[in-house]
Amino acid sequence: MSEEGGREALKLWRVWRTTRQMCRDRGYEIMDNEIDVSLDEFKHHYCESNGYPDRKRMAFTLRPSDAMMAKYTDPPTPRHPEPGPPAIGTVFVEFNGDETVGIKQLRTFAHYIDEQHHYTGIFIAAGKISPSALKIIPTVLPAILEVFKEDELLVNITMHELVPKHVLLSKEEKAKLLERYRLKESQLPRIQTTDPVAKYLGLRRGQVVKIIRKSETAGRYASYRWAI
Amino acid sequence: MKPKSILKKSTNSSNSSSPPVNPRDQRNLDIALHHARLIQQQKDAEAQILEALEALLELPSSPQADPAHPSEGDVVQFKSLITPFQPSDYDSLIEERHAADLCGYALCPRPPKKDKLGGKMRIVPGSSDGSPARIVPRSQLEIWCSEDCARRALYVKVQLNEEPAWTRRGGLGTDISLMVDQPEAAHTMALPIRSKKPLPEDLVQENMSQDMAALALERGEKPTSGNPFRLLSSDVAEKMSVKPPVAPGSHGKNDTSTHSAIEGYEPKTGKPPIANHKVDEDDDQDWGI
Repeated sequence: MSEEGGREALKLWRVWRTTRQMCRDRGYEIMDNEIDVSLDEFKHHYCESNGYPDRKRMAFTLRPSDAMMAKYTDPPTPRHPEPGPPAIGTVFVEFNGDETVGIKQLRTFAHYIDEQHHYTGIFIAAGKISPSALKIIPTVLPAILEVFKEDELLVNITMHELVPKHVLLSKEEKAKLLERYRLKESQLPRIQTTDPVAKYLGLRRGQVVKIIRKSETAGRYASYRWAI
Repeated sequence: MKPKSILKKSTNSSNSSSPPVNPRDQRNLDIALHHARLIQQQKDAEAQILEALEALLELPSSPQADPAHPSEGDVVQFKSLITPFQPSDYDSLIEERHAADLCGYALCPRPPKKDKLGGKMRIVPGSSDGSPARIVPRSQLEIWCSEDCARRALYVKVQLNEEPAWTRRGGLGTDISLMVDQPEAAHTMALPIRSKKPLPEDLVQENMSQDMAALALERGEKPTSGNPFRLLSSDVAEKMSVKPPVAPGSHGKNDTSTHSAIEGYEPKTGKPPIANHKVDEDDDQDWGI
């Protein structure tokens, strides 16, 4: 096995692991033993005989768990006693090894997502992504495209000790919070959807996230952010 | 007696129809709507540019197309698509075509040049028309399939309107011309043609007075402000030197005198001895305060 291929495999193993952890943290159905795969096992599954990993084989699909479905379902209201379908569905993760990712690659990916009726598509690019390619993301709605670079996923940022725990609130919890503090949602502090942790959790505009920090005086301290 | 209500009179009682609209509210609403429409217009223009960019990735229509002689249909399509572009949009088109492994010029079907050699920079040898050799980043060279295509693409870029499409008024603006057929002729045409043979004297005079008049107009000079046609004649006269120049410090009587001289100048630091007494007195007074 070549030195270069081994290094590439190690890098991709980390990226792949972080991506799976990210999906677990968002609430998709995945077992822990599917995440904690050793490097040797990873190489056995995804590497070719020359030692280089095959990104095509690494793609995977996950279903949302019941808890996640409940979180994304609108609470019934007197006017709409029947809540609509949950605003979440299967996720498809693809790894792309191209040097530069342009409109074409992302369009193909969006087309595939649409064809297979996935709700969310996560595109992980090895190279750089052209700025105009990112512009097509809003044009393929309602399918949700998320684009990550491999370098962003080498380590799991939420495991860092300085990153507090972020918990997404469901619509019901959000309504309760606003009622309890007698706020309008625009009066909450905000978080950008481009924030690294917001990207990790796949926050959408209008969602509220609860941030639990350690506090020397109070033990734990919760604050809330409105994603914009 | 009927008890008097202590509640405020409600403004929208059931029997009255819709309350009269405050003129100021109406104005605010109008302003908000105006700005919202402007933003919508901008978004529409951006979406249109993105669509045009994607369409330009598909050009040219046939893989055998020749960038020097593009087909009629392609040219019409190219021109109509490129009109709303700003130069920066054009740059992203080039980048996008590079990502799609195509030459940066939208009417060229060939893949860009690829160098197997590593390294960041490349030396471009000087060409026959007199341009000197240059050192350019490799990534810039690998955008194009050939030097000609680079020239053609940049010829389009310089014609693009700097103004964003959503603020442009009055239709589509200027027509964009392409460098087609004879690229050599097209780009030498803009240059002034200089004839080697000197023109007859009276013709020169006439030409110059015309040029000077045009220049005066451009500068905003009035015909009354002096004579704009008169040229200043410049005669460079050499100053007569009487003796050979001497380095400072090496002449005069202080030549060898002091070490403190700076290029022959001796700063006066010492005070005349008579003044010493008075200075002392001043010092005492200073301390006394």
